[in-house]
Amino acid sequence: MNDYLQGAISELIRRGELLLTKIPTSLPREFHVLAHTCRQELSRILDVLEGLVDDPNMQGQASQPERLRKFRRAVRDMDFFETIGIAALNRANEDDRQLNLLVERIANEIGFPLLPPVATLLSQGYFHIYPRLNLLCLPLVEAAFLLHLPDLYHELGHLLEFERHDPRTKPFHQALDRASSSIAGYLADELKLEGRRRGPAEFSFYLQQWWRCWAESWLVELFCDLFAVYTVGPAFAWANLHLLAKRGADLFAVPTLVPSTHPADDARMKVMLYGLKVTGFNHELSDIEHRWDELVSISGSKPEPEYFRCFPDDILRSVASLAFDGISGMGCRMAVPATKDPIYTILNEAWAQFWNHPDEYPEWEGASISRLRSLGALELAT
Amino acid sequence: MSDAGLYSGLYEQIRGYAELVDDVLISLKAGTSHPADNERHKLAEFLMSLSSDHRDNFAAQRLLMILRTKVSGQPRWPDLGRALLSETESAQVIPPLESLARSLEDEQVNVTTRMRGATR
Repeated sequence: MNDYLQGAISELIRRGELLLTKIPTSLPREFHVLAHTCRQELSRILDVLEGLVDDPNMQGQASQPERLRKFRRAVRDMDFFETIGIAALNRANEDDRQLNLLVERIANEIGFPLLPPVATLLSQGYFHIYPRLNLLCLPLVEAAFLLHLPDLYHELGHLLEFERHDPRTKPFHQALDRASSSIAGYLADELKLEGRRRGPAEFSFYLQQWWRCWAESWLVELFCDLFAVYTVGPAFAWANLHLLAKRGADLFAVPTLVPSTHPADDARMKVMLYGLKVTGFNHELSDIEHRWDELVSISGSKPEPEYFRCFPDDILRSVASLAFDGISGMGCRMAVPATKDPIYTILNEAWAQFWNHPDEYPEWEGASISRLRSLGALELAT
Repeated sequence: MSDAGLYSGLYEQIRGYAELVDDVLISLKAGTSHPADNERHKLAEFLMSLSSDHRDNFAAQRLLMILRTKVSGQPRWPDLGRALLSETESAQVIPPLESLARSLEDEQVNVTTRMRGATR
């Protein structure tokens, strides 16, 4: 396969060179960092590929497995930059620019400790972020509506988890470490207990499965939810209810055979409610809880006993409290009932309007989007 | 709310370690690796952190949980890390490192697939 790899690597080098020429040169300034990142990363990949062709250590038979793995990594990386980063640069337009101004304004308003992400209306699914590119993707017309916009704050949380070296994110990571340790302790105890009980082997397997899910994704998801709760307040919990009413399934789902990426929806909502309690939103908390109970009831979802073992209340409460320390420790502006910042106010008012004046809501929303845009323009002027 | 955000961080973490393991393997196979090498040292430290004694290190715990379900035979990662810091024969450390490299490769593919799956 040595000759195949020589040829295939050379082909990939030509592809990378062509991609470099596809990075537009006249872009709005909001996209300059993304363009620079794509260019730098493509150059790095090309350096790796050239090494795979030229390095004498790469020619020996014994090193072919490593060479193949390095080649495959380069293919995946190049795919990533071609289909996401460079694609976003090629569609940058006025709507994207407006969204970027809004994101910048939000980052300033909440004292976000990192560079705000570049935003694009390129998402083919829901909101998502690529921390490696610092690129936030929203669906095409999402910025024309307010009720889901609080989800944008959750995505910002992923950037904090991704940034492991900047001292400004240290409190966040310390809180994550403490929460991880407490969950690992709980699950290790449960596993020991299960071992002593000599019950069905499935239960030990489930516990191991949950441990992996907590470590791999659930804890980070909850921290990102809490970042949103602590910076945009009740609007995020409402947005979550809205999302789950539209797209949710079993609200108490607990993985048994196959790991899941997100914690059960009910556990997420509980953590958000604990977060709102910590920050004093007692009135809103009770409204959200009431609506959540209604949604649970009409959805027909019911918790199995495993649910309570997988997501014990004490753990959820402690995650909410540790995340509060981590997020406030970074110096972020924490949302409390007295918060009056402009974007915070519009996003929370949107939900009050939605519930209290549903008939007038569309008109109110249109006017508020214009207000948001003018806030973004203000950001540009300062 | 998305798998992309969740998994691109994890992918980067695994990719970094996969790159490191492959680089050390290449120099071990070429006979040019020494315990004092920077990369070998970095890999040894990473392997020594993969222990349930380090519960307060979220990143290491995450990797440990993934490898627990991926690598057959459950090598003792901290022992392998210590072997890399000593003058242990290459022939002894290469097979478990190869197994680790394959697992990290599989997991990168797995994470990429999930990253591109449904978002929410």
